[in-house]
Parts: sequence; structure tokens; C-alpha cells
Amino acid sequence: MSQRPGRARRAAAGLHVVFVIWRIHVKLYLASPFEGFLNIVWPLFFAAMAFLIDDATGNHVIMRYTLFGIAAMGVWSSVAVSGSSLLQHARWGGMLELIVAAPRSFSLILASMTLALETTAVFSFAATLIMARYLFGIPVRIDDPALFIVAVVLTMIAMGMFGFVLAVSAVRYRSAWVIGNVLEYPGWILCGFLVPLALLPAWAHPVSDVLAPTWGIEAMRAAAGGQSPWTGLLICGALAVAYVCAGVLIARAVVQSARVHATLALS
Amino acid sequence: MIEVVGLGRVFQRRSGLLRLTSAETVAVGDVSFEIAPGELFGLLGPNGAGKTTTIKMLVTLLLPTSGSARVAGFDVVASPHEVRKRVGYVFGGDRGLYERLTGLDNLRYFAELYGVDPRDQRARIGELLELVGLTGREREKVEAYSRGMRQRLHIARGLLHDPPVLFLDEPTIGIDPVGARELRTAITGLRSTGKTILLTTHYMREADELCDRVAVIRRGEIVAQGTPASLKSLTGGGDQVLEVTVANADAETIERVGGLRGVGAAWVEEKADGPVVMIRIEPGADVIADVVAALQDARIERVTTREATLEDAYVELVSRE
Repeated sequence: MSQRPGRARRAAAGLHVVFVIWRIHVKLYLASPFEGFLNIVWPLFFAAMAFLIDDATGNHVIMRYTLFGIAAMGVWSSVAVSGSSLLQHARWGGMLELIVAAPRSFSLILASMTLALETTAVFSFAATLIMARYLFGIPVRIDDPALFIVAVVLTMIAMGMFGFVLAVSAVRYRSAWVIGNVLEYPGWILCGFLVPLALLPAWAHPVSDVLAPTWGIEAMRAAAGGQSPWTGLLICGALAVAYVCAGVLIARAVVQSARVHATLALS
Repeated sequence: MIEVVGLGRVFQRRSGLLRLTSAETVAVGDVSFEIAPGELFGLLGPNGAGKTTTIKMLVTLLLPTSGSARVAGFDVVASPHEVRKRVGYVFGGDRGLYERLTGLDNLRYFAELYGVDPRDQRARIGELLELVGLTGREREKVEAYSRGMRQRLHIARGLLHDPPVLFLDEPTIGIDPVGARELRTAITGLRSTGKTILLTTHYMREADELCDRVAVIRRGEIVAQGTPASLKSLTGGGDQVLEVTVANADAETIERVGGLRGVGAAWVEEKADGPVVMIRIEPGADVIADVVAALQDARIERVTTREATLEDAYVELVSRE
């Protein structure tokens, strides 16, 4: 009984850390004119892509399948590219050493940073849908808005945690940020954003299955179509938890390895 | 408060893709020193001597490859988390701050990272802004700060969790004289609050003014340590230094001057008005006539004498083969 207040206090302190780091990093991204420019151009690009598909097929069933996937593409790009280069930027700015040398858990700090990245990426998701609807006149029908929002939020958190796993590797390997660039386009296909997974070769299915966005986007489509999204939601949530566990374990190992191999600084 | 015994760090660099080659660089060979609570200790040495590597091992960013170190009672290898809670790490230069955020946001951010209780953060940040003279400027973005202001913000950042031990790695580098003086005043203030401080600097006058004791590190090894006064005496304290501005000075001539009776050491420093032969004269010796004769071919332009400084001792120590 006596441990409960201590645990509760620690949990509250942990949440406060996540909130403050998240808030300050969101502020940091919003303060960048270049990031702001990209936040407008990328959704416009994806909405235009949806329009071209809609125009070419004239089939609203296909459009309904691809629209949410197209909106999620920008989020995936943000996770893959920005997530994996997050710590490289921190290294360039001399922040990585300060973050590692801080008494707070490195995993907690990094996960909060990737969540902030995801928050700005949510803007890309919403902006793509809004532009598709109001700029290009593509119908956006969502039968179960509440569960759809749950699916979007959970998918974003899961993607953020995937970004956390990607970002962690950059602590040890200075060139690990290129992994994000390598993953960006294959991810669009493997997560089933544009084409149904059934069209992919059999060997690709296990890879798709361990990517949380695959299940998240399935849940979104199910909620939008009035079907049960729970299978997708549960698997997406479970994968997010698995990413967190893997990220924490990898983080411990790579920080120790970085101390051995002296890779925290630029040189 | 800080105990360093035989600390060493060897870097391994691997290159090549098919044929892997490995090279070892000894950044810190065998370093030992102790710093008492409340002491301001200076670690002096040329670029690449191992100062920053030593500090990085003490703040747990690097693992030593030999020896051991304890900071605030905790081993830097076995208990890095305990060490991190008790140290502040401040380095010089423009890096280590979020430029697009305000000074206040930077401090709030690091207050979380350093585990400052949210209820105490506002008061603590206010105190530190006052201490480093940034009160009233905290809501400006860091990109608008001068280098001196950034450096003072760095110090405030390093003190957020009120660590008993502070590592200052070349904090005044690149700062104008007024900014450097303000920073030195802030460091003196910190010492008076009982902080144990390890300072690295290239500026000997700064070390002489601030440090209780100093150690000179060269090629990864401590070559001398003690109070600034004892270091001066180690290389001839109380001696006079003869400065001879010449048109040219070759190594052979300098060696000849160094071998003269009554000359402790001779070396050349490049200054704005040309090469200056620095000659440390042993107490009571009268060598001016011999030196002038020895430097006849070097075309003497000016001769002055002054008291030996810590810088003279430092140059002599790091120049010894």
C-alpha cells in the first residue's frame, strides 16, 4: 500500500516529462518555416494524387480504399525519414550528448520526441483529407467517426513508436538515418496504403504483418465503412507495445555501445 | 569529490570495406588527479591533449578503457545514473541549445531532462537567470543571443538540477573580453556557493585568476599539477622572462640561447609584430648581454623583461619533449 503513492507520483512525473518534451518539440517543429512549408506541400501532393486516382478510375469504391492510405503516406514518410534522422540532427546540434548525459530515461525522452514528430504528421493526415474533400471534391465518408478517430490516434501512436525504434539505432551508428530513406517508399506498399496486401507476393505478407500501420489503416477503413475495426485496433495496439519494449531494450544496448565506441558526438 | 586513478581511453578506428584495417589512438593515457569538495580545478592543455575526453569519461558519455574514476562518490562505469544526477556539463561554442526556442523554453526543457520537480522549476529557472544575468532576456529566441549570452544560458542549463559538481569545458572560447569577464564573474560566484568545478581552458590568465589548482595535460598524460603559483615555481617561479622581438629565429639559434648559463628555458612565440624569443632567466642571473650576442644574426628589434606567468610555465611544460 505504501508503494502506491510513490508509484503514482513516479507515473505522474513520467507523464509530465512526456508532456513537456512533446510540447517543446512540437513548438520546435512549428517554429521552422521549412517544416511549415512541407506541412502544406506534402498534403497537397497526396490530395492531388487521390484526385488523379479518383479521376482515372471513376470508381468511388477504389477511392474509398485508397484515400485513407494516401493520407497516411505522409505520416509514414515523416516516421521513416524524420524519425530516423531525429537523433542525427540532435548529434549535429550537440544535443545528443546532453540528452544521454541527463538523469532521465533516454528512452522516455526519445519516445516523447518521436511522439511530437507524429503530432505534426497528424496535421498532414488531416490536411490531406480536408484538401481532398474541399479542393478536389473527393467524397470522404466515415460511418463511425468515433472509432475512426480512435483508429487514427492509435495508428499515429504506433507509428511514433516505430519511429522511436528507428531513431534509437542512430545513437550507435552515425549513418543509420539512411534506413529511413530506404524504408519510405517500400513502406507505402508494404503497409497496404495504396494497393491491397492480397496483391503483394507471399513473402511480403509477414513483413506487412509486423508493421503496425498495416493494421491501423485496416482499422480506419473498417471504421469508415461501418465494420468492426477491433481486430485491426488490437493488433495495432499490441505492435505499438512491442515497439516500445523493443525500443527500450535496444536503447539500453546502443547507449552503452555508443559509450564504448564514442559515437555520441560528431567526431 | 572527484577521484581519477590511471584513467585512460583508447579510440579504435576501423576503415575499409573488404579489407578491414584498424588503428588505435591513445586520447588519454594515464591520468590521475583528485579534486576536493568546493575546489575549482583547472585542466590545461593544447588541442588534442585529452581534456575533453577526460571530461566525457567523468560525465559518463564515454567509457574508459583503463583506470577508474569516482564522481561525488560514485563510479562512472558502475553507477552512471547516480553520477548524472550529481553533475552538470557545460561546453563552449554555439551547440547544445535549441536555437529556434526561447532561452526560457530551453531551460524548461532541460529542467525536465534533469528531473527538476515541476513545482520548483519556475523558481529555480528564475534564480539561475538572475545568477547568469539573463533576467529579462529569457523570452527571446536563442538565435538572437550573443555568444556570451548563449554561454551564460549553457551555464544556467548545467546548474538546473543544482549539481554539486560542475564540468566546464572551455566555457569562454570565442567570447569577447567583456563577455568572458562576465562569465568569469559567474564562475567565481559558483565557487562561492560551494560547487566543485573542473574547468578546461586555453586561457592561462583565466586559469590563474580562477583556479585553486591546475593540472597540465599533454598527449593524454598529466605532466604537472598544483596551485598556479607552484606550477610557476616548478618551471622557475619568481624568474624574469626576457622577451626579444626579432626579425627571424631559427631552431639552432634558439637552442643555443637555451643552453646559455643562467637561462632556464627558451622558446619562440609568434606575435603580431613578428617572432618573439621568450627566455626564462634563472633568479639572480644576468644574461642579457650573452642573449643579445647569441641573437645577433636574428636581427633584434626590441628587448623587454617581465615577471614569469602561468602561461610561461604552461608553454614550457607542453613544449618539453
